[in-house]
Amino acid sequence: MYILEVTRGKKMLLTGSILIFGFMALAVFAPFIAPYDPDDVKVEERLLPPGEHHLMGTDGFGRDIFSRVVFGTRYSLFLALVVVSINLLLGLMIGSIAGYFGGLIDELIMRIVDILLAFPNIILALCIVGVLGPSVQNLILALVALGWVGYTRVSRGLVLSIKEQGFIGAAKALGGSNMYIIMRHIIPNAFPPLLVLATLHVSHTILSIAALSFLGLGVQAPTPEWGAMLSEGKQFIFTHPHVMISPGLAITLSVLSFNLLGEGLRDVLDPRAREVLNV
Amino acid sequence: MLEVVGIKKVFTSGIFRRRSIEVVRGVSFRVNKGQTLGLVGESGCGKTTVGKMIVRLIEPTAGRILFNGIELTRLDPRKLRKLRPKIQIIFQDPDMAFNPRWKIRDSLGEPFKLNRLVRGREIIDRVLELIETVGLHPEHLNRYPFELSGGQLQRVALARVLALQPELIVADEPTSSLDVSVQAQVLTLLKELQRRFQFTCVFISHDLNVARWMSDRIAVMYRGKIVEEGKTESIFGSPCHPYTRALLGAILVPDPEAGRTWRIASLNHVSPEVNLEKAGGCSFQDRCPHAEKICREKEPPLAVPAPDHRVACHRFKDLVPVQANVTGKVCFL
Repeated sequence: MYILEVTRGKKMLLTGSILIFGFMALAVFAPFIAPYDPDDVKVEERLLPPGEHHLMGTDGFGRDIFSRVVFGTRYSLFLALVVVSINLLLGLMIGSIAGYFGGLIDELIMRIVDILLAFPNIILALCIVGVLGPSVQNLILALVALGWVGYTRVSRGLVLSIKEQGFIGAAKALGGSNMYIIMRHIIPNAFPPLLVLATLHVSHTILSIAALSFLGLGVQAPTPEWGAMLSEGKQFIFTHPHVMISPGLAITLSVLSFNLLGEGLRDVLDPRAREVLNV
Repeated sequence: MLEVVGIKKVFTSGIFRRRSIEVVRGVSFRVNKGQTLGLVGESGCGKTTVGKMIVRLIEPTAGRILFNGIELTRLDPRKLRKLRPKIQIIFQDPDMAFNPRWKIRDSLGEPFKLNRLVRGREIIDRVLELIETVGLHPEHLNRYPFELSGGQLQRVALARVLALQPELIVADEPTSSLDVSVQAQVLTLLKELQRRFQFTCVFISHDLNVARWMSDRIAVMYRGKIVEEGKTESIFGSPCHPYTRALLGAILVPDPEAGRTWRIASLNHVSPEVNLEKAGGCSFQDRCPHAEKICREKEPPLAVPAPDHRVACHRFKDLVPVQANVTGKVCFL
């Protein structure tokens, strides 16, 4: 069992992976795990405290909060993963081109990156969603429009150091085209450190999505997204805090587990590190 | 076979305030088929840049490079790619010469796949053949580069280069990062392979002993120029340029009783960043113990002190014409 071998003695990686597997399982098997329909409104059961029938109580519409948190995994995790994957691929491609070719292309791309990096993230996302109208697609668009720059910057730096290494020159002398060298030599070597960055970024994205949804600009009201649930619960924060505590804890835990995974991955992804582990 | 005519390379940086440094300042030489030219000089003198320009990894700013009479510098990209397999390079640092995520098997198969020479099963046969040619075991094919030693990797680098049956190999300090005993093995292998496959070689080195053992001719570079060039015997037997003499004086002799033919010249240390354009005259003037007025005013032309021997020095005739009593033995240990 390769995975067990690698994770042995690595508590962060192990805890992070187990928690994320847990969240994945919740997302996949949500209909079997959730005891109630997450959208089932029962006015007579509204704002019940956590108890025997409702593990985490009910919200202002009498919906079961546990079921909503379970179904919320689907939205929060799925959206965050989609956003981060797009950012990663886009940043890797653009950054590789900038770093590999250098010169004018590099200057052009990096100045655009600098400009985008200068904006406060969440405010620019607010503007984009505000102008285009709140919807899931526009939420993804806003987060991608800002997210790719970080990956571009990092991958450009990685490419600059990779392209000076002998095997790039050797591949060129052996007859490899620029496209071949970027796809087969540069990107595979720049990818692992970026993957660590991406894993850490997933948690950041979960927070951004929750924040935008909380502000009413992301996933819309009846959908059981964690940020949107927080937003709906905020009117009861003093009288019935349990409505906000459960989705809040879900966000915290998912963010924590991705951070743990990212930190843990950093140590294992290098083949040299694998040698040290004796695998 | 290979002829380099007045190549120059200027590196520039910055977009608003352009700064430039001329690394190679007009280098010319020729290498005959099957022969080895040793390109020696200190760090930063531009010898690696010359090597990279020959294999067209760096575009020369000026000058011509002729390979079998074809001018590489004006070749269109399609024809250049056809010619590329014929001109190969071996790098200084074997640890960086291979994609760290590929097994040796994949790296050795790369030249075949890229040039569509053979396909499928035949690639495996050729790779096996190559790994044995350089004296390694087929088992090494399944390893990753970091699992092999520097000497083994340099052998693999040789194998990869040989895959394309090149006519010219630029060896850019192939052994300077290896242990002395391993150096000898790799160099012997290189020489043996050269005898067998008859390729021409440009051997770049800062180690004069190694260059002497490998080369038919030697070209000494200093600050982007060739200051002396000739047959290996005449460079070592009767060096004319003060810089060459200083280099020879720096060779360590394994026998403490032997004494030195050339005393260690105390050259003034000068940082290589000194702006060369400002100072006219000989590029060696500020370090040369024999510099005179003419050296500061005029750039020395190439003189011919002996047949088939060139030197760029105003004063070589005034220097003591010592006939070296070099034993001719090269020792690696």
